[in-house]
Amino acid sequence: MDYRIENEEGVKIVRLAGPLDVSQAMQLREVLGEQIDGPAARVLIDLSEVPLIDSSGIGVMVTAHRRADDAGAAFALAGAGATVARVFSLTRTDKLLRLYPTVDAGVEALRAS
Amino acid sequence: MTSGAQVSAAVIAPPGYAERLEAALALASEAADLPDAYLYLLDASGRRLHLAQSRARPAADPSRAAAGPLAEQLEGGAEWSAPTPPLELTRTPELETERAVTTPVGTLWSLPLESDGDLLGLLQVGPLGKRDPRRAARQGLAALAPPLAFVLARARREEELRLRLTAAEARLEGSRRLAGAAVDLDSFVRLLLDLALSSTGAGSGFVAIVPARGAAPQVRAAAGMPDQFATQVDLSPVGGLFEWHPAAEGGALVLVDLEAAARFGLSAPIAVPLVEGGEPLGIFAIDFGPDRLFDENALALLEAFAEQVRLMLHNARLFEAFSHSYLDTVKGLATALDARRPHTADHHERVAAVAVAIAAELGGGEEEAAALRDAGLIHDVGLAGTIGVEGGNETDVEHPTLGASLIEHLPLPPAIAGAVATHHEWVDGWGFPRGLRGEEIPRAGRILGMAEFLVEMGTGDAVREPWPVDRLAAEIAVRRGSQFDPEVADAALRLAARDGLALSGVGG
Repeated sequence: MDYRIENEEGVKIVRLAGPLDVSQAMQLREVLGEQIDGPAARVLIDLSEVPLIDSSGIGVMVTAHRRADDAGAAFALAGAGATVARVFSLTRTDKLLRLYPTVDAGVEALRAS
Repeated sequence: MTSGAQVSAAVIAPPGYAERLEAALALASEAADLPDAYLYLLDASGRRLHLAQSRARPAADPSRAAAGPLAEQLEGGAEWSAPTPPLELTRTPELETERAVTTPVGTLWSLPLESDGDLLGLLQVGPLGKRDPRRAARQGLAALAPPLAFVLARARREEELRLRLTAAEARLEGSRRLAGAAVDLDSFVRLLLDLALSSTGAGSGFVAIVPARGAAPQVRAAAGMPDQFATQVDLSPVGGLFEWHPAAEGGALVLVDLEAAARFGLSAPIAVPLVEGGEPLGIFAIDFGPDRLFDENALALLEAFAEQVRLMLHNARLFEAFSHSYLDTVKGLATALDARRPHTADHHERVAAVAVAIAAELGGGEEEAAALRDAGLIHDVGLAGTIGVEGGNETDVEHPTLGASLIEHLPLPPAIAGAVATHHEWVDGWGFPRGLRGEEIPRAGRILGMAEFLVEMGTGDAVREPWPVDRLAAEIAVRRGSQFDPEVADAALRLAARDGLALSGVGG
């Protein structure tokens, strides 16, 4: 899994690239844990370069979402393709997470929160 | 030129198998610019090809279709002599090459369809008249053949899956009537898992079901998983491999124990929560393996299979709840029957208790005890339909059959109806209603018969004093091997020696 982090108007955009499965989940957990570092954190995951995600990748996202909630920070995801979006709906986590169709929409929402 | 994607879209678009084959023939007819097309598919033997779909003289050319030929047929009775293509062809090496063939419906251009290098079937278009199709048409057909074969192979696989599923559903319905739901549920879940794996190309998976409200799901079927998975995996809603997240309606399913996932060899699992009315019923999970070859299509199939399992669990639960309340009604009817006559007060309750005691003496398990208790509580309920309110012929030979018929269609352990139906059979074949012998009588029926004898004879009635325990024991010894199964009789004798009249439910 490759990733790079950009800062845009106070929102940390974590751009992930590659499939998110059991073999990548540990690294993903560390990366997201580092970014959610306090109540001021605004973290947006860009999924547009992620071709697929499994239940373990989803698990890390939900854990990150909960950590952010507990810390008073904001966490959202954006740009999921059809296959990735389908996994969110299959696992019913689309009702749990903040999902935005595009990174721009995600940044705007996080800035407002 | 038609691209592979266009072929795929045109053929797979219709939901029905026949419509898909029709769409394939329409494409072929169009590519060759010839009106008639026939599709033969190789059968499972690999030696014969069967006509799967035909398309003759479509209405595309109004001068030929519409009223003309139809009217001729109707007037002249021509339908009787209308030529038909052969319904079956034997596979020959010549059929596997592109060539013109002469058939009852004219000369046709025949070309083989191959999928993964294996012959799938034949496409025949025509009529050619005296000449081969034009070069352009031949090229168009040749270009169409590979994508068409690929799409047809997929349509055929889907159809086979659908047929297997339909057959499985019919089998489930049938076996539910015969055997009770618990066994069926497992075999059906296993079948759905196998179908999900073969249709999505995933290597492994499992289905876990919540045994009771609030309990952790238990693995009921697993394929391609490590041996210890079913027994060692912790699927508790909190702290297990997955977490049921309550925020979403009915609970989202999230894999949280990454170490356990890696330990059990999971690579790219997708776990779908089976939810109904906000309540978790179970988990349907498949692992796409280290190659992670999954796409939207595979996910849609996974969702469809998960929905099948959910529906089945829903039905099984409904039926189970209905069965238990129905069984309670039947028990109530039996109790009402006892209350009608003073000498039979608590008869069903006592027979149930004695049957359970004999089963325990024989070393039976909890399931047998539970089945015997239910059977004991209803065993004479058939009398409600065979005797008058003021007495009558209480030994009506049909009452065991009638009683069993009240419950035999329910998904209950089969021992219950079996015991009710046979509790008046004798091991020497002199009992009723069917005159069964020895092992033909289910063990629960042999135990229940003994229990009823003890309770009935140990209790008096309007014309007979109750038998004391020594007489009961003496009668059992005499009837051992004729009326009673020797093993069951010996158990009853041991109980009599130990517990005295408490055995018949009178004393104690």
